[in-house]
Amino acid sequence: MIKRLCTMMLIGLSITSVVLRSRATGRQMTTSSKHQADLILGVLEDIPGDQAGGADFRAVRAIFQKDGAEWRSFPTKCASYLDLKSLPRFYPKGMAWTIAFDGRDLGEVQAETPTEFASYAETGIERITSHGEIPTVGKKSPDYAGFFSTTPVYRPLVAVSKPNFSDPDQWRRAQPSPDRVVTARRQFQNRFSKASNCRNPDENVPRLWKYGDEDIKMNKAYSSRDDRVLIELKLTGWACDGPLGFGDAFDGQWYFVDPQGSVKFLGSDMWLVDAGDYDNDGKSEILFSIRGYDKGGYRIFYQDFSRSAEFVISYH
Amino acid sequence: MLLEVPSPDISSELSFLLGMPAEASWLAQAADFCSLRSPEGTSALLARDPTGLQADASTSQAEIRQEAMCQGSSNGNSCPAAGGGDVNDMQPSPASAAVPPPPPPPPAPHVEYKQSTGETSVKVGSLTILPLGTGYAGHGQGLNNPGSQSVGEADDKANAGPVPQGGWTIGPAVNNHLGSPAMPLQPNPGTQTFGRRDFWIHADNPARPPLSSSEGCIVLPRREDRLAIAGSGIDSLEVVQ
Repeated sequence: MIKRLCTMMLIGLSITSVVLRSRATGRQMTTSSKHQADLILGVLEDIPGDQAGGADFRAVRAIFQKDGAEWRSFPTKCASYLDLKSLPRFYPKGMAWTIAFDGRDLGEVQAETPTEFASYAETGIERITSHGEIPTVGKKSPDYAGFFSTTPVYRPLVAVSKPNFSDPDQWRRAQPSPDRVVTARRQFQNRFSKASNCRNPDENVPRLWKYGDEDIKMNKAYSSRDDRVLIELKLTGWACDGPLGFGDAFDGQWYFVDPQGSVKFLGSDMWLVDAGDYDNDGKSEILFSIRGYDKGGYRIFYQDFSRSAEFVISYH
Repeated sequence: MLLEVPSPDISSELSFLLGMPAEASWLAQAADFCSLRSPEGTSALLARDPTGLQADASTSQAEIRQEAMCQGSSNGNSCPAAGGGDVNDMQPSPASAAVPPPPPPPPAPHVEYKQSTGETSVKVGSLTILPLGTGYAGHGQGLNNPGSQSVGEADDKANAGPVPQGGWTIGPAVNNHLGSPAMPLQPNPGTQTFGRRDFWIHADNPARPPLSSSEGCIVLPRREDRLAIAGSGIDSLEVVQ
């Protein structure tokens, strides 16, 4: 009798274990042995064709994996281009992705990692294998393409390996109050006490330029439901002929300002892709796209902007 | 903004050389000029390779791959170790691999860029129609170093090599933070890019040390040279050693 009871308990435990395990990994089709954690953040991208006349294509790029309380980037750097063949083994082999935008679920796509990445710029790319409609938002624009690409492509959209698409902090485009803008502008001026500019591209000689408040433009701003603010500031009137300006005052500088007026510099050369509670911890993460000289990728801020992680690729 | 007008100085110079008005379609006239003066003429060259793509196809190289074990680093996104795989997986590096003989230059007007010197010129076949200013590509050990053409910033941030050899298509000129103007480059079929893409012809950075503003893109410091290419209508670039 006792033996039969023990056997039944063991069978019951085994069934429960199998059910729990399948629930935990239910949305992750297959993964390599090194990536058992099942919360992965990606981006549904529209990638310009590499060759002349090549068409753009949609794909999901796996970028971050949740590891305890932290978001970790998948590997992107290699000792040589030959390593592009070995990189995919560090990525999930296949995923079912929930596509999110602005706190909404736009649909699902399935995608698989190729056996090798075709280029550095395609690091992390999974080819879409599902046959349904692929979600889009808005019209194609070259603003969303890679390193100053002139090819119009669709806006990148967040992809999550679990249906975590809500945005509890409700981040929205906003016009922040003047005092917040002044706070951010003061930080901007502290950061760039001097700036250089040229008279015109033909002369192309940078000279020190004492800019004024009127030269600092607020490019974009967002606010959350609890009155936290993200502000992008930059100098206008770039007149040099050349790639001066990456990371400097003529590129957007992002600041986080809390309701008490504390301000924190977040970075430059980036634009906000979306916000959402992708790890289901009750707070929204903020995802930026990085756009520097020969540099792309994503930067995520979490835990009230106290933590961040970067997924960085180069194009050449 | 698409730039359609070549630099007045250079187009005038070329028009003077050709004995034609500056406002004419100067490169089309340059092609005619060369077909008249070339031993074979442009027509004969075109008849030999009407698409101009045969040369590109002949430059296609076998894929050379090497297994490598990647190991995570402290920041979790590094893949530092090439050659960590099985010895049997090792292949010669692309730089040391046997390189096929260079293809004949395209018969149509094109821009030629020399990796080793940065010399840039407008050519028809092998004839130089207009020498442009000297540029550069890459930096550090990769600066103007054909042996580093397979090395990108992802490989070696300090020593990125020049844009790889082969045929490229020059895209429409734009004014952006890369220059006024700057032109995107896309590889033609058959051009081995070593996993690199999204190159540009762009301006120099006057605020940085000399010869340090390229991760492999072609830097043409003189604005008039870029304006000349943008205004010429030429969309073909040949990168040679």
